[in-house]
Amino acid sequence: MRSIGARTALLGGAALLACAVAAGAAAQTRGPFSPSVRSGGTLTIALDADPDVLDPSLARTFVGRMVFAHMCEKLYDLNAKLQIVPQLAAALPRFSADKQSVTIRLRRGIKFNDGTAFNAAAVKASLERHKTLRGSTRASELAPVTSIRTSGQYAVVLRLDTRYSPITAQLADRAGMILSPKQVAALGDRFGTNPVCVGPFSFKERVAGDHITLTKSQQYYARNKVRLASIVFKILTDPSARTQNLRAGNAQVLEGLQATDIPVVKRDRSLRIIKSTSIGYQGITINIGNKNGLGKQYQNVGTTFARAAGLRRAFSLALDRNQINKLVFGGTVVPDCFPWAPGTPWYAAAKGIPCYKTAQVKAAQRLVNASGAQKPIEVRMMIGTDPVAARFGAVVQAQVERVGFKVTLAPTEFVTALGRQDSGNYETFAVGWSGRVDADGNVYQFYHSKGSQNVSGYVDSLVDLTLGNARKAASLKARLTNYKAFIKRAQRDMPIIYLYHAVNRNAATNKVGGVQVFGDGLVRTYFAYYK
Amino acid sequence: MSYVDTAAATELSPRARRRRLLRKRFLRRPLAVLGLLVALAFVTMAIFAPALAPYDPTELDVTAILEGPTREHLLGTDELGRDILSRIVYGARASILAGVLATLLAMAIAVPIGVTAGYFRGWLDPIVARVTDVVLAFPFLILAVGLAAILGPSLLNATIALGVGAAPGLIRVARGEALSLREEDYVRAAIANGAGDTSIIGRHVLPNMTNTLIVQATVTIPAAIIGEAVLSFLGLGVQPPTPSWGVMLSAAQPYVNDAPRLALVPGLAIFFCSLSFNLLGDGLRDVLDPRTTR
Amino acid sequence: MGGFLLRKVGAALIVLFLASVLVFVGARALPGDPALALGAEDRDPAVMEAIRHKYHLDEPMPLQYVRWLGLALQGDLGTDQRELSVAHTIVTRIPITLELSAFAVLIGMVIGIGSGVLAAVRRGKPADYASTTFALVGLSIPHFWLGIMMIIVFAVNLQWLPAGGYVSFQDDPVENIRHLLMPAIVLGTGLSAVLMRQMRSSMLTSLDADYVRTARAKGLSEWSVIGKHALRNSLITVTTVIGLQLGALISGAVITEQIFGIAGFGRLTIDAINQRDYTLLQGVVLVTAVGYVFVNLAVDLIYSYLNPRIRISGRAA
Repeated sequence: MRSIGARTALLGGAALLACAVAAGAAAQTRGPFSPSVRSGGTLTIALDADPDVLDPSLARTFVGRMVFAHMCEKLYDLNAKLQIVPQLAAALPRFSADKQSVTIRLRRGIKFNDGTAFNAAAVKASLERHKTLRGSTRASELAPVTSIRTSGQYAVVLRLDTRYSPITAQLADRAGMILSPKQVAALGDRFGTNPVCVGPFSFKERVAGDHITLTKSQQYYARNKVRLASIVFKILTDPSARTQNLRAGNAQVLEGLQATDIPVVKRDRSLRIIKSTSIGYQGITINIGNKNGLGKQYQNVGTTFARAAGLRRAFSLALDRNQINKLVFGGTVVPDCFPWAPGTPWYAAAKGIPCYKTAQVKAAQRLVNASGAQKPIEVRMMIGTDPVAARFGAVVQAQVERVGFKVTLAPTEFVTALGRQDSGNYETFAVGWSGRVDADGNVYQFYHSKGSQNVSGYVDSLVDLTLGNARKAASLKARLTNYKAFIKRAQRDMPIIYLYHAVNRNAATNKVGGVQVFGDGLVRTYFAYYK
Repeated sequence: MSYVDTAAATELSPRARRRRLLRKRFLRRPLAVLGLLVALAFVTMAIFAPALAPYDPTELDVTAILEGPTREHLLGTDELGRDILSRIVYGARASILAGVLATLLAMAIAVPIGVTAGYFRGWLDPIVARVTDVVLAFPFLILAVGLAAILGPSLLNATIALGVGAAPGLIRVARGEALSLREEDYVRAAIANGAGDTSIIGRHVLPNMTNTLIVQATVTIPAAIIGEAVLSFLGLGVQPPTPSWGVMLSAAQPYVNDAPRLALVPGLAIFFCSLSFNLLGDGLRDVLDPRTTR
Repeated sequence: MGGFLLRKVGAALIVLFLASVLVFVGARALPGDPALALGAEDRDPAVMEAIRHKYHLDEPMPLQYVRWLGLALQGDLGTDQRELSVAHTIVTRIPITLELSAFAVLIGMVIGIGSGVLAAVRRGKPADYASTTFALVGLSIPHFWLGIMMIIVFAVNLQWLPAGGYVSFQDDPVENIRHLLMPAIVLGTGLSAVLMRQMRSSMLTSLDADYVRTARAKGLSEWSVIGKHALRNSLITVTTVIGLQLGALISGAVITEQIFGIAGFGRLTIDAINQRDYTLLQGVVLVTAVGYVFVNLAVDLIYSYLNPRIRISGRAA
């Protein structure tokens, strides 16, 4: 189809668009204004895991968030710079003077995908469901919220029982997703079998372990920005199979490109790689005081490694983060020594604190000798059971052997390992954290003496103080000051050794444009289009 | 003239005579001999691994990653710079150990149960049959995955899982043998003479089963060797850094495009090891079969 | 015949009952529980307690078992962790594995029976040695390695066949066969090796038999002699062998699906174990056991029909 003159093309295009709407979503036509943007078509995205239940109150998986991003908008969202911006809200939240009341103004005139009106009552109902539904994983995220009231049809006011800066970030994730009250009334806690929210696409069908299909929503307030007719999330847990499917054209977008396929995709000129550094971290968690299990009395577990912070610092100095990056991951991760990723506003808290990316063997040996411990110092490390974990274990073993540590690897299946970690039945565990937008979400629960995931059993009063202050402080500057003091203390005692930040690598065919990936790692294709 | 008891000098006991006959028959079969030699080679490799391997199988050499065969590394190096030949040599340990021990475990479970069920019949027989059926109703791999998840992944637990998995089939064989041997004339005669059950089983039933059991063993061992490779491939058997052919195969998958050698070599090792035992087993079955004339 | 059938069915039911108890207890013996697997990163205690309550894990085990069994007998296998019906998941994924297995059995039968008959008829000649060697190789080769090697040669290097995935027959018959060809060959290799050896051995025995010599003496053509008796033998042999090899086939399907990225029934079991999805695991293993018992029952019945001696004496030879 070739254009034959601007005005004719304009008229012709408008007519064609009308025909397309009449004929149904499957037809492929040319949009009137952007010659290289087509309307229609089905986009297939290859996902690396099957999302769990598609209910925002109960959902727990990362891939689930990707599906939600296409069909379930939230009060707030992130932009490319990892700044929080309003999505279903009309503006950023307004805090009261005592910082314990939060007013959120809402967008007007929009509808849920089943046609019901979006208003303050619906927001209140959703937030209350997130808080009170039995088994809700959002309850702890909204813990400081004591009450939610509507203020007219298009505003809600949240009351907090304590000052809590991370609240906006929580509302920029699943806790801020608003569900159709009509559908909640109809399905109750089976909402996940046929979810309805405000979104560019709506849920059509799902086959466990195989695929999830979404179709373009006719109720969405910005539907003229949505080009695709439908999106299919195809579950392909084997990374090589995902790459095959992308190269064969069975999928147009791939989530989770494995490191060893990067050269092959790079060489293919019809494909492009889209990457973003994860806001989480990967490292080694050390059991210092978790002798009786999470939440119970912490006391030092008594191993040589647990008793001497100097040995833990020596271990960290002996590791060659650059070499781990090269040998284990083929140079595809970002070596680091801190819980927050470079590029996030929180990374400034680490300014001035040294981070050694190569091994400091002499310094490590000095620390080991100073501790007076008898060599070889035995350390047991739980790792995963996959080949990458095996490589990681082998490299770590070789690196720390030089300064006198003897690491025994204990490959453990993931769920079993989590159980051991929580009960304190481990010495060290090579594990990471997927990361949260707010700095608090990467450290508080692990380091605070009352933290919900303090599996190291670490207790320090300065850490408790600084983390608590950072949570309540309102200005970035105040929070960073607290976090800096926290990091200094954490690096002295080292309950967690940070090694690197993963890089989310995704791939897409050049036949498709408009695929976005921000720092949170979610692949967003809601405004994508075929060229 | 001195008296030479030529008769006594050349007289061999029936057992020794039979053994000589079997040995001659065996040697006439080149494939079986080949199988025996190669199997022995693998067993030797397993036992004397430290002496035979040129390098420490877990030693990393970060300057020599994914190298092709050279004079220093006859089979090249893997993704962490470890010598592949040494890892193959040490890997034989896991395979031979798992193969032999799993088979012994299966025999130890199956023979007593099978013989008792087949010889005594009665109420025991149907129970044994049902329990065997239940175990067989679970696909072997599901059983192994479940056991590994419960007990934790390790070579020992993989061996147990393999042994338990192979037992039901052997129970059926042992039962069948005991059943038919019981009907033999000399056994009936012994019973009529008032001989006790234990002595009959010990003197007549078990010894006559040895041929079948030997053949079954040589068939079970290669299956167990492959089974160990499968479990290690899935991460349920030998755990790194201990080398195992199955683990090497699983680690080779991401490098299939760049260095297919990493997948080729351990697979060939499993293949030849298993093949040698199969050849040996076939040969033995042929030799021990009373119908063979050669 | 009636008494025989009744006995066999009765035995099958006992086996199924024991299998259901075993999988129920086994699932709960896995370290960690659904709460841990589902609580994932945050592991909020309130959430975990709610999960345990939802899956009735806070009730005594016998009660949980009776509740589950009762529903299962009505065809309701419950819902898995994603709130999706287990029965629906199984029903959508079983056909894929069945198709793969059927294809594998077909390949196994064609190659196995064909080469077995050939080897018996041309005994001692090169064709015999070739077939016997081929069978030996098929028995000794680790089939998951064969799969990887075939992917390297045919998918990566020659690019003749896709490296994995599944396309249904309704969507595209040609692609369906292209995607299943390598997995089916891999899965069928072991079966073809066993079949070949069995066929050869039973053919040799029957070719020697008196009634065959009589038929030859009477002047019947060689091919009709072979044909009629080969057919009879093959039915008996194939039935026995497939019955015995069924477990191996299912296990093999699990690995094959893993390597070739096919979302079939085999993968489902492994995933269920890893996710501690008790409901899904119990449903899947129960269905597998039912299928296995049923097929064995059918095999027993066919075998007894073909071999009258069994029917009369009532026990397998």
